Amino acid sequence: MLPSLLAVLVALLPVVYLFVRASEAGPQGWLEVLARPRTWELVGNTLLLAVLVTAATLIGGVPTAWLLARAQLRGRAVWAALMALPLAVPSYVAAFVWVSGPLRLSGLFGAWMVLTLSTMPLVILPTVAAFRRGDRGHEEVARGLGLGPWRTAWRVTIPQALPAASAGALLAFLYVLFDFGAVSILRYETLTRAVFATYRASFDRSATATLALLLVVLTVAAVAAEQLLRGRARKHRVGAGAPRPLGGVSLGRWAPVAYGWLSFVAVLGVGVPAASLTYYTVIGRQRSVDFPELLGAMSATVWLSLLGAAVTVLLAIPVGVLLARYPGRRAMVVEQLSYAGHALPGIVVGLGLVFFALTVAPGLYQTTAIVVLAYAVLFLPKAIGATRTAVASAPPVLDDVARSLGRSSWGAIRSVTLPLAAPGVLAGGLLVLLTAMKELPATLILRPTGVDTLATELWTRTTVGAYSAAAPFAAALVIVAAIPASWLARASDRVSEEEL
Amino acid sequence: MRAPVRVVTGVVAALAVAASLAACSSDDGDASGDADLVIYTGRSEEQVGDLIDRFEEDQDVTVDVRYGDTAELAVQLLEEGDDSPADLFWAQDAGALSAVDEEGMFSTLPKGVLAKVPEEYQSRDGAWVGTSGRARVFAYNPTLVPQSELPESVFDLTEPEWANRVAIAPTNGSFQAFVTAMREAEGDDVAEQWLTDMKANGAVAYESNVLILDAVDAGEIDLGLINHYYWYQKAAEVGEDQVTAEIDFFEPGDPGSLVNVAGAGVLTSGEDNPLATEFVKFLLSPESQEYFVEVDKEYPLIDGVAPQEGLPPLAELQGPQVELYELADLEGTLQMLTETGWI
Amino acid sequence: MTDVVIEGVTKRFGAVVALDDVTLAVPDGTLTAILGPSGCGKTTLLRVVAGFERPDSGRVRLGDRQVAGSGSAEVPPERRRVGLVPQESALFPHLDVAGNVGFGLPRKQRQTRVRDLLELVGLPGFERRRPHELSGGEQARVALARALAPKPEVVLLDEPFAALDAALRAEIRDDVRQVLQATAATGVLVTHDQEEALSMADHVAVMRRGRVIQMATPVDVYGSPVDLEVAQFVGDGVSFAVVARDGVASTPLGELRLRNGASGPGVVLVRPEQLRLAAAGATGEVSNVVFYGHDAVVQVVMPEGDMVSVRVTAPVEVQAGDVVRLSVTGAAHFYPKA
Repeated sequence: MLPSLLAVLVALLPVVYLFVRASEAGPQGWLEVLARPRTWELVGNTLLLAVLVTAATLIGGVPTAWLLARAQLRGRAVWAALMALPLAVPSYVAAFVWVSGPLRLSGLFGAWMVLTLSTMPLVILPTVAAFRRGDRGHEEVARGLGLGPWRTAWRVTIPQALPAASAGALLAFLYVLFDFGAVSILRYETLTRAVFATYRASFDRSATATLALLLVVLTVAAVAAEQLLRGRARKHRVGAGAPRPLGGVSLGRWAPVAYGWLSFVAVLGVGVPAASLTYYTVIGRQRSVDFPELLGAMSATVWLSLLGAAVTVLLAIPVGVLLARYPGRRAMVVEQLSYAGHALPGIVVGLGLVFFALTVAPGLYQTTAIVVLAYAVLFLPKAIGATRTAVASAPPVLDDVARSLGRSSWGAIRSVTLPLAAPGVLAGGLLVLLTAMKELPATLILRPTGVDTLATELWTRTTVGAYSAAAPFAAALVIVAAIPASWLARASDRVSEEEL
Repeated sequence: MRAPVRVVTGVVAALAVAASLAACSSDDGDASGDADLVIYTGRSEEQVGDLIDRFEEDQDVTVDVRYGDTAELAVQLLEEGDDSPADLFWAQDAGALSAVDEEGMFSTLPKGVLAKVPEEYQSRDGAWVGTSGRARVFAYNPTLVPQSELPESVFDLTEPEWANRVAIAPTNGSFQAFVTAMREAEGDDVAEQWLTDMKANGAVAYESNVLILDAVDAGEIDLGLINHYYWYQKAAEVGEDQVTAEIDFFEPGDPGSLVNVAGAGVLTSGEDNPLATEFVKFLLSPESQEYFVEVDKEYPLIDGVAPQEGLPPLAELQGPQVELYELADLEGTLQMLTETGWI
Repeated sequence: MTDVVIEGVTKRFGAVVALDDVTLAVPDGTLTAILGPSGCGKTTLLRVVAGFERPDSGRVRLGDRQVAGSGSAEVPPERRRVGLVPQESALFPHLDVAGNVGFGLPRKQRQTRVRDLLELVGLPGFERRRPHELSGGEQARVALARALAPKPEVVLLDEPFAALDAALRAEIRDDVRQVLQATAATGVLVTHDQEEALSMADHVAVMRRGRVIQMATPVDVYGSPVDLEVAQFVGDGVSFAVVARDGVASTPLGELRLRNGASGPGVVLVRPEQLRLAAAGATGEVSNVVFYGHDAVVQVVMPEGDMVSVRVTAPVEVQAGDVVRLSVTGAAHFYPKA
């Protein structure tokens, strides 16, 4: 219990200090910020973009998922990988690619397109899984009752996948609320961008803190809405239903449309970024790459994210054990609180920790430690989720046996639970590592002077339009992040094999 | 099965060790503690990175540089106060320098250093000194804006004919200094009205001057307010005939024609670091001044170094009737930009 | 010498009373089965003895040590010297057989003791096998060896054979019984399988709704169940509501002699093995014959509509539709109406 409180403390630190800082201005200050038309313009912009992106991911993602899960598709594995791959490209890299390309996309349309491409996998992946899990018996029954294939799809198949799709869509919605890099690069003014701009260009930081809190309120509302919706839409499957061999629906004359659509998505989401980064780095380079700087940024990225992953996992282990082994109201409170990172955009966490460091711990200001702390806050939920699942998959009776054989309760956890949970915990660590490598806003605000990660180097160059100088950093980031991503893919393969 | 478990435990242990190392190193304070000189600069790495490398080589020292927006770093310095890890502030405009100066955060520079630069390009009390000069201009795309339609004053840009055609960079220090100059020369009401009207007229905010120039060049937008040297840099980079955009000056005395400097001052937190003053001297050396001319296309500020060919002499440029050291109210400008919805 | 004494133990989970004033004594070196339907509290009782649950009131004593309850500190599970053989064996999947059996042993003793134990449970040479390579029966044996390794004074078995198939179960029960006797440990076996309880244990404690209803030898539990519910739980039977008079009750099977010479309203229970197809007695019609090989159960419908099952040994010479006569041997159980 006690060690898990540490995680809670860490998770709440930024919000608390944000609140402290915002309340320095008093209700007067809050009202002043809320009274500005600008504030509501930003809220409107943010929600508009989030809604448009979410709608597009649903409309584009569900049919794509159906194709991947149910259709007779040549090269299914390749298509599936191509549809998931945009997740490996940070949204600001995609934004960089599109803003610097011949189309010079920007503004609402650019932000909408880039973020839709970046977040569509969030809808596709769970929906594919839902389509696969879905009981085909129902479809056969529907066909047997005289429904044609289209009406069967509409009335039976799609409703089965809808809970998964909407959960994914809400992730996409949050992603847009949180996104800082892409909207900044594409010059679309959302709350995150305004928080950063006022932070940089304002003597009155309590107003900035108030804006940040407003963003927190929006995200909390979105998370609450998600839980409400999920609660209502929970689908129960009656009976196990024997799994049937994957036959797949024949596409017939629709095949060209299907392949055309998949190619279109793959080209926009993967092809263009890959081609553009290759072009800039290899062919269209105007200046030679500054290798020492590139290497420096690479090692800073790896070092910071490794530390972040380690600390996050260490903090997450007690919480994961608590949740899996001692569920109850207290555990639930701990869980909810340490999940604060889920509702906090990176920019907000960064800002909160700046305030914390300046008022409480000046020694931490602009240090590696505070960047690592920010990663811990942001990515604790990922690590806790992984740890909890991993610990829960180790049967508690094994702990009992270990204790009856003379181990203390911690001894039992160490000698039985953790070795069993280790692969899952490690996978969680890899996930944190991967995400931390791509983190931009908090790193930007908190990093020690002279320390640049690939993400911050890319950002500073992109904001001054030095696209060809930025490209090697973008390429390096994609490549470096591919390493934990591939480990993660392999780890999850192994896990699912063991489950089978 | 056993082997993977061992590997996993090993990795977890390694991560734990790494984490505790991080915790230890953070005890030593900031990570830049091992650098010989810490600089906060509002200039971009693109523009001055090589010059700083040169200083490091010459002196055989390590310099840590925090790049950021000029205003951001000024605010940060004020927030950090005497605890600031920085030794030196090298700003993109005189306004931010004066703002930091007003809080008494600069130590006085040696007379020998100050003497190298004309008095109008330094503070009255010797707190900071200009290192290079720049002029506010507008860039335009001649295919979208014929010669005959060019504006004479920034105040023309709030007219309906310029609706949705103008780009500005509200977070940029040079733009902010221009606003401060407008406030000083024309009064706060006029400046605030201008910002409000610009917003209403659909002027577009860009992240930086470079992005504005690129956008103008590509025909994405018709006209933008920038510093002169961005055009010359672009011309040098891609060839003059490849640049569609052109630049021009507003009429003499217009706030839009502000002549400004980038400048540096030694912070009180860096008072005991001789390298800080050494760095300012380095910036005012002929070598650096030539770098500003050749690489950044700025105006040199010391005698004996000539500006880029084709540029009108600095002394002939006529900005608004404002002294640079009067541009200290950065806070008021930022407040105004926030209230008018630009930030 | 370690007997297990449970005195007045009560344990609640919220509003649910899992254990309601349970008192039970397991004599040293014997095996006691705790028999009851699922949800009766038998597993909770086991967990209280093992130390995984703390009783709300009452006491638990192992030998001369009080391990739980008022008047002494709660002894944590790892210091109770209680071996545990859990459901489905629950071997540590990340350790091989030797690692599992040696888990509770000091490093020095491991090798020889593991070898001895594997021999004892009939799995010599299995040290390097992984749990997933073992059959269910082998897993149960390893689990037993693991529990016995630190020489516990008490061994708790929590439905250890539930996942095994019938034939294997009989064999392993026998072996486990012998191993336990060889080590002279006091055993407590939790089960819902009355055959398992009756065949393995020295004593059977029947539990229901958190209480111990009857504690006796297997013979007595089967032969003299304390009430109708216990009687029906520990074995099959046919029951009739009757009014008894002077130790005799009139039933569709005829006048039956009652064991305790009772009078008054109540229920009579007749076990299938008390019934015979005979030349004389009550008449009924065979509705169905379920053939098991070595014997068969003949279902007979009495004229009043009662269904009676009769266990007959092979060869079975009746078929559905035949009219048969039934005789009852021995006295019937009688439970007066409460």
